[in-house]
Amino acid sequence: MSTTEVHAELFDEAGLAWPGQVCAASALSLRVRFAQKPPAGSVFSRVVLHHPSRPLTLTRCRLVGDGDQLVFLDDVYDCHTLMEQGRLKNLLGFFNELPLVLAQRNDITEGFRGFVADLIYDLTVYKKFFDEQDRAFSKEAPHVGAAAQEVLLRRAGPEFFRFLDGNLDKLSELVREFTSEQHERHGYYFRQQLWPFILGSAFMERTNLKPRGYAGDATMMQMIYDDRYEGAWAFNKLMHRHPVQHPAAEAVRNRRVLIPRLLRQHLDQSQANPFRVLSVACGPARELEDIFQGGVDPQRLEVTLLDQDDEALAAARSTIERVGAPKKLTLVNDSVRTLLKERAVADRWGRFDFIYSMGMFDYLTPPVAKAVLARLYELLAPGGALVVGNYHVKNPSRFYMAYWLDWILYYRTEDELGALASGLPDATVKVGFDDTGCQMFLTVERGP
Amino acid sequence: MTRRLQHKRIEKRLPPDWEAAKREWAPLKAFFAECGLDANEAYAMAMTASELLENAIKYGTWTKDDEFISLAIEVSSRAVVVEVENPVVDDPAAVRQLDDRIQWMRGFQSPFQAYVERLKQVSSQSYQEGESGLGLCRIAYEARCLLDFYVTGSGRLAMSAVYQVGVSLS
Repeated sequence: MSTTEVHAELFDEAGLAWPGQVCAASALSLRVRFAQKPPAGSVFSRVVLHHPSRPLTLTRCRLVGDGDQLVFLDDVYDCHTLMEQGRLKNLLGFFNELPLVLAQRNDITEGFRGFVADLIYDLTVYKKFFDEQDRAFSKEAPHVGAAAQEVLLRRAGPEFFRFLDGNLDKLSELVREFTSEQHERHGYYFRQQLWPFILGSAFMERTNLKPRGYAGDATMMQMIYDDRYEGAWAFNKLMHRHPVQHPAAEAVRNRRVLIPRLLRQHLDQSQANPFRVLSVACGPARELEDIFQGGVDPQRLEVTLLDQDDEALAAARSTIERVGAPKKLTLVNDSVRTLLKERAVADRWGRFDFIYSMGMFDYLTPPVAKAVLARLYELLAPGGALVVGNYHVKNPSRFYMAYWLDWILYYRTEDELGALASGLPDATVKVGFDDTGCQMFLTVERGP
Repeated sequence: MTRRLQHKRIEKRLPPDWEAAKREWAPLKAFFAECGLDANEAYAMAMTASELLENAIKYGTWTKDDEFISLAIEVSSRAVVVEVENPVVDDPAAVRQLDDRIQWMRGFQSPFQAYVERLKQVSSQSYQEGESGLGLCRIAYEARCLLDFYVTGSGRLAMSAVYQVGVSLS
């Protein structure tokens, strides 16, 4: 609650000024201490607020309550922002822009409209069915209700997943030939229509709302690693579980196994002690569990974890605390876009024997990806290896991610990924795939 | 659906003044058309290049006489890349804000959605000039470009716009 009090003049309909001290009474109303009290229910045509940052003029308002509270008649101001920051935030301001949003439904193909309408109908039918069962279960003792819901999920879940899969196939068929502009427009239309169902899935809600400002945050990664039901009701559980079982999510789980395997290979072949490891955009760094529990001597490892998100670093730290300490651990809260500006970064950090970055290059456009890769290569010790993941253009979850999850990646072909490493001196470059075929790995080794 | 564009690259050094940026408009539009972009695309890409140049003039740090803007344009079969580089002061907070904003914007499948979300925030309050971030959203939305940046080893800000040509996914 704001307490700032500001001097103001309130002009009544006759043009007479009523001076007073004004503060926020609630989110949408002000309170006035008048020098001389006007009649109850007075209407003021404008209020001039002498806010320390700048004078502000507010529109028509009326005295209500005990004769000291002001409500506005033509606008809806955010009164806390108004008093604390001296900013006019009119909550109805966006109303004028609605035609722009409404016009987005033009140019949607007939086929797509029909597809979306049928999908909504079918999802509504399924949701009603599942919710009705849950309502019946909720009348039972908790352990009985839970057992019944388990049966429901086991019996009806697979059929519902087949229904969702079938619709993803239809979606792919419809949009496969779209231009990027059509994808954007149809994707926007799709999410506007499917919004209540999207919010019914904890995972999809998070990928759409992106509370940390980007897709793929540590919590989303955790949901993918966990791969279990979330939510209380069966429908919500299923809507959450389906996307975290899709091939792109499977690929995330695969790389958690693949990285430790590659790291161990290089560790076994290397004489370096300590063996220095750098993970770029580390996220929760769950792959470290497999590294540390896989018979590697933690005292031989020096680990540096870099992420732009302090919440991801906190998750990484708790992973490390669970699995045992390396010889040295360094956490760096910075973004790759700015981190590598220092020419002398290798002097400060030293060189690394193994550098990897799994979920980052899919977000970097070619000029940035090439620059970042070159700088990471400079940090590589002789004989060291750099491993970078990138989803392939043929990712089978591509449309699921784009349309349902609002999760966009910069997809590459093998050649495009390999080309990022072109021109690096003394480098051996390889591109491989994970088992799902969704994800590629670029390995760049520096000569000894 | 898939077009083959001519692979071409140009690089230029420009002084940080409005007239110089304005003079680039027509030759750039012609260059994009020569490479095989259609009239709308050539117009949109020339607009993107001018907007990035304007941003460089406006937000670059111009303290010495010999400082310049680097403009690089590369057209290849799958993408058109416009990159504009300018000197900046070492202000981690400002760069971080730009980083967050670019990632936030790129987080939407539809640049229109990013534009509308930003508009929703901006239209409800009175922003100081330059802090709204609406300009970047508009470039992304109108020219359908992916924006990205990094700070180079010599401390210059390299801002780029990538237009993916006819990204049909079949």
